[in-house]
Amino acid sequence: MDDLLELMKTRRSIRRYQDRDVPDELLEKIMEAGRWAPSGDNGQPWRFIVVRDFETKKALSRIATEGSGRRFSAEYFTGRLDERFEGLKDEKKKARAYQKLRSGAVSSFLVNAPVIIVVCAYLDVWDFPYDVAMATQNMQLMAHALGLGTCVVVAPVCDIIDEVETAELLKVPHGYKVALPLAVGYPAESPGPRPRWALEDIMYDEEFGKRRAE
Amino acid sequence: MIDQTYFQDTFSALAKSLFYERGRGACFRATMVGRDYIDRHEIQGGTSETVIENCIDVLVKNNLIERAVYKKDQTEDFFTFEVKGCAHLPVEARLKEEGVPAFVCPPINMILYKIRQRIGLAVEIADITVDQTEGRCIVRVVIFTQ
Repeated sequence: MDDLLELMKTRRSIRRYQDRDVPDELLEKIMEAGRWAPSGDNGQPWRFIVVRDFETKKALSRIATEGSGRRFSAEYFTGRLDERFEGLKDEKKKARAYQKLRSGAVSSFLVNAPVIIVVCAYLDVWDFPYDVAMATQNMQLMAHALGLGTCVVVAPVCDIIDEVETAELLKVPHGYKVALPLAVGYPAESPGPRPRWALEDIMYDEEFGKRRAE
Repeated sequence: MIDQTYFQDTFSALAKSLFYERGRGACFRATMVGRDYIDRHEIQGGTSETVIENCIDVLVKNNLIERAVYKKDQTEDFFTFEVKGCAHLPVEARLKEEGVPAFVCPPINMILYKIRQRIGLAVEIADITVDQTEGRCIVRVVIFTQ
């Protein structure tokens, strides 16, 4: 059990990949892990599109870049970006980060991922958002266990306008939706852990906000 | 004449459901609201300004809003709209009372959609402030070349 927790704690979102192909058998193991996720009413709404084609990845990357660029430009306008980077005192670093976010370049790495597994969902089930989220988590953990890195990139589907374009690109039929693209590849970076709230700060006893008695 | 409060009740209930489903991300699921309506009208214009003015004309003539004005900041990317007497204001006011922040503005959606469609610029609503006392909303948007 400790091994599983360790696997969870050491998983990272990987945005830089080695120029190395991912064998089909590993991809199949990843999707096999997704297939065994919990599913409300056993609806199994998940469908997986394996994208290796460069032009398709480039198109997904463009949609992602545009979506991120719009959103972060809006965040810049409202001052929310300043809130996000409140702790960053180095003005040059901050300016670089802002530029990367406002241009949308933060999401453009999709084109460089060796493989993108696009997780789709069948809509005629009750619980598809939960099901596909749990399937994706399974897939990310399996990929990590296999020495692969992943990153969920919501940018091409976050805005419904972009989602429609992504669905057309991948020929996703009516009755299904594109839930999220998952970039997969051998990591070419090893980022540190992101800060997490301490358990005692997020855990309540019997009702929301009530701390456990000492 | 259909009771307008019926539509206000219905729209606010749907908006509230969407907000509780997606939280702050709800705004990104509502960006196409209003498109069908503006597509029924011929909107011309080769610049952001002319498209905006032409859309506002349609909205005013059809009594969806009383008036709308806007200003740009010095970068020319950031626009602030003031929309007065909007048909959606009672809905937004009610959502605000219920603690749901404004996240969808159909009139501005229509304008931004036409700017994107006609000129190819990137567009996004940054935030919406509802002021029911003054009978207006302030909507800040970004319109820029990507």
